Amino acid sequence: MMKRTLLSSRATRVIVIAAMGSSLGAATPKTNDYVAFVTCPLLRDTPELPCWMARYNGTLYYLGVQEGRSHLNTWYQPQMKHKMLVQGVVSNRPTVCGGVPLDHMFVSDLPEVSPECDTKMLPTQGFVSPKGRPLGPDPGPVGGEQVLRGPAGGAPELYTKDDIAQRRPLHFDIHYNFNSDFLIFPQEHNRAIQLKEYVQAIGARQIRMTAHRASALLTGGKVIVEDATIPASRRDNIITVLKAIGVPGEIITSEVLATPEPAKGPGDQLAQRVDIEVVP
Amino acid sequence: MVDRRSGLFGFVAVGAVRSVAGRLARRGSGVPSRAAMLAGSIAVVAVLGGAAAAGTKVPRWFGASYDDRLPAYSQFDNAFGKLGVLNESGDVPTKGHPFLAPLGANGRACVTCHQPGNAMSISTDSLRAHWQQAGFRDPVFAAIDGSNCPNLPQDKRASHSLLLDHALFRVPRPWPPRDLSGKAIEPEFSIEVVRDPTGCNLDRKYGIKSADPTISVYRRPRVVANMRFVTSDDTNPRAVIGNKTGLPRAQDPETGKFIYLPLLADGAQPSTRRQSNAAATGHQGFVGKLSADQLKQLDDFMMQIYVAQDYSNGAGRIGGPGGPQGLGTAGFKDTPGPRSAMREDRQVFKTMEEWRHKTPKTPAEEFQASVVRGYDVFFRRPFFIKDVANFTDIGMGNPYKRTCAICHNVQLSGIDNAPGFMDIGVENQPWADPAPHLPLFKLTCKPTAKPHPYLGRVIYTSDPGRALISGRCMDIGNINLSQLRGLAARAPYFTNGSAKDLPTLVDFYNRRFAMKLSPREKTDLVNFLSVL
Repeated sequence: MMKRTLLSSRATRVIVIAAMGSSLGAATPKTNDYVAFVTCPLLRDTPELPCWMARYNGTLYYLGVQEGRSHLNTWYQPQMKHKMLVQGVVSNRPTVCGGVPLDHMFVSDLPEVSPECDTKMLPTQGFVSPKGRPLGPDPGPVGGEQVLRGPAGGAPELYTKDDIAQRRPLHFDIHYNFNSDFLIFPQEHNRAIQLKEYVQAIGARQIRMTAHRASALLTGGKVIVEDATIPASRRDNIITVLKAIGVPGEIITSEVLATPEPAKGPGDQLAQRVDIEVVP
Repeated sequence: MVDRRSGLFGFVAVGAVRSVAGRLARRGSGVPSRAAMLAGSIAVVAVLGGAAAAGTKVPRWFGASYDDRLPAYSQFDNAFGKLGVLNESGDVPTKGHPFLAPLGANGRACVTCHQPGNAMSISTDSLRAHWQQAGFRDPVFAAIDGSNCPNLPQDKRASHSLLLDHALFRVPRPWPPRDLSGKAIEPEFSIEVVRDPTGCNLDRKYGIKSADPTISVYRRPRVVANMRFVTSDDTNPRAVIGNKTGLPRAQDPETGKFIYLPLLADGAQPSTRRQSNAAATGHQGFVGKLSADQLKQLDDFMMQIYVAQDYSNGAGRIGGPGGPQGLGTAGFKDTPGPRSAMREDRQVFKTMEEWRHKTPKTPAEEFQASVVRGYDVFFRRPFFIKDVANFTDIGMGNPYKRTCAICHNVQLSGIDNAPGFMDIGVENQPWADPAPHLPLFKLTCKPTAKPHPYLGRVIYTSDPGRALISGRCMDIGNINLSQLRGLAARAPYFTNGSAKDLPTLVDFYNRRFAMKLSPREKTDLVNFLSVL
């Protein structure tokens, strides 16, 4: 059976992370250390695009540059007034906007309001942000239109023409932020649409879903767990979406795993998902 | 071909004409008699071109029955110049037309509250002038929603203060909310009336504890024009999933289409057809359902009428050859819509380079240059958009550094087709301007509900907005943003009328988002908005 695990970059992430040493509990992270922490976001207002940052255990990390919300965006950006869960691997790349970059990074903004996270902006201090989406009008077609035309968010095609010709089973997942059932735009929207197109192309007789509940081992040893209602809510929402875009509801079966996936550090975020298996 | 016959749409001296019709009407039951309407019609024709009263230019009131036609093109004075009203299909006879003639028992027509001279909305200036002329029995002041509450003495000005002072109509919404099929939704929050200056929300007949529990909020009528650039009928399956909710968009129960809900502030109605029926019964006392012919006439009318400022006191003629092609009623022609226009090669109001005078030689050119600078602020000047529910909480980050046009992005209308429900703080505390004339509600969300992303689970608001339809905590205070055309003709602004004029509107954004606008930038923005 063909198995495609999430985005190809995520598949790589599993392998890479597994090979790395974990530094849970370490005070000063070193290159290749895995870090996971909950903190308030910081924003550095550079002359071009602002940089999202985070400070933890005395280290300032660079998370990413403001990207907007189009087919080009690659990450779900945090919010002031909300804490965020940051998971990633300390990079050996040069600092950006004064912060240490993280590889294989995943940021989840947490749903509850945290007024203490209405933090002051970091001063520019001469830092320059990486190039990104311009702040004013776009130079070319807006992302929304490209989303309508093809794969978005850098998501690869989930299947090939040969997969359709051979009517192969398809296994992939929809990924979520920690403790969230929000279908991320555009990446996960596009995967849902590709799923529907594949189901129709091969005349699939069944879609099996398994909704997972994640936990996360934080640097320092604390474990946080997604709410018990989250996996069912993710499952319900994705079924609602699939039906709306034309997937027959009667071919969908589902299972909710209420027991949290064990928190082990690297790769914890991969459990924030609904597995989907298309049966020809 | 634009018909510039403005004869029948001249301007009348406030108090000089309608008083005849008003006096005749006041003798009767409150519904203007045919004789009163006829008298008004004759009188209007007799004083064409008259000056407005007391320095305030008030466009002539369009009566529900005493005007015989809506011309193909007409102009109406306002404080900034003249508004153009273009009807693509030519003259429209009033008699029997479902938008222009009364449908129900209270003498109102759609046009009563969507006045051509007010950009198919309505302004406080027009309402006050009309109150002076026609008095409380005029259909626009009907008890059902043209007064603060139907239980109040209708002959008192104070009973109509929200309409006369803020151009707000009462909008009753059922509690608990109902979905599009009429089924009750279990809301994620409880609602408590903290302040009830109109008395309606605690009234035994009309309030939240009545036999038919209702919450009254007070809102501005939306512009019923330029609808080709407002409504969207995108059936592409890739557009089915709402990019703000991650869930399917609302579905029109009649057509099955997934829709954007741009029509009302709270998206209560999915289609112009449903809204037409709801307005006929809710505002006009119509009983039953409109016929297919009437609905088609209404749909056609809404799609063929355009409003925009066509003359600026400062800039001169707007639109047409030699001027910015996106402005004026002529600018709507030959432009497809609606489409996003947040890009250099397709700007929201097209290019305004024709008015970018490096060395202005005349006062008109000075003003035109100011308009272009204002457009630059609107289109290009970034600021931090912060704590806007249903916008900065959906993955782009809070705050989000961008320009006005990121939300007002649809070409030629400036509406948002995402759709544009969001909470910018007009209704919800702490950002809302003090509004002791409006009700104040305390909403407490259930612990299991997703909270409002910036206000949490206890929220004070004068209008819960979309939450009164969806029942969702995170939608409290969410309001569909409005189009930007004909602003000069329809003060006050925002759904709750909290900005009494364009400078106040600009000041709100400047304060709310710490834009740090200079005095010149403020003036430029006002000038830009005044020519739309």
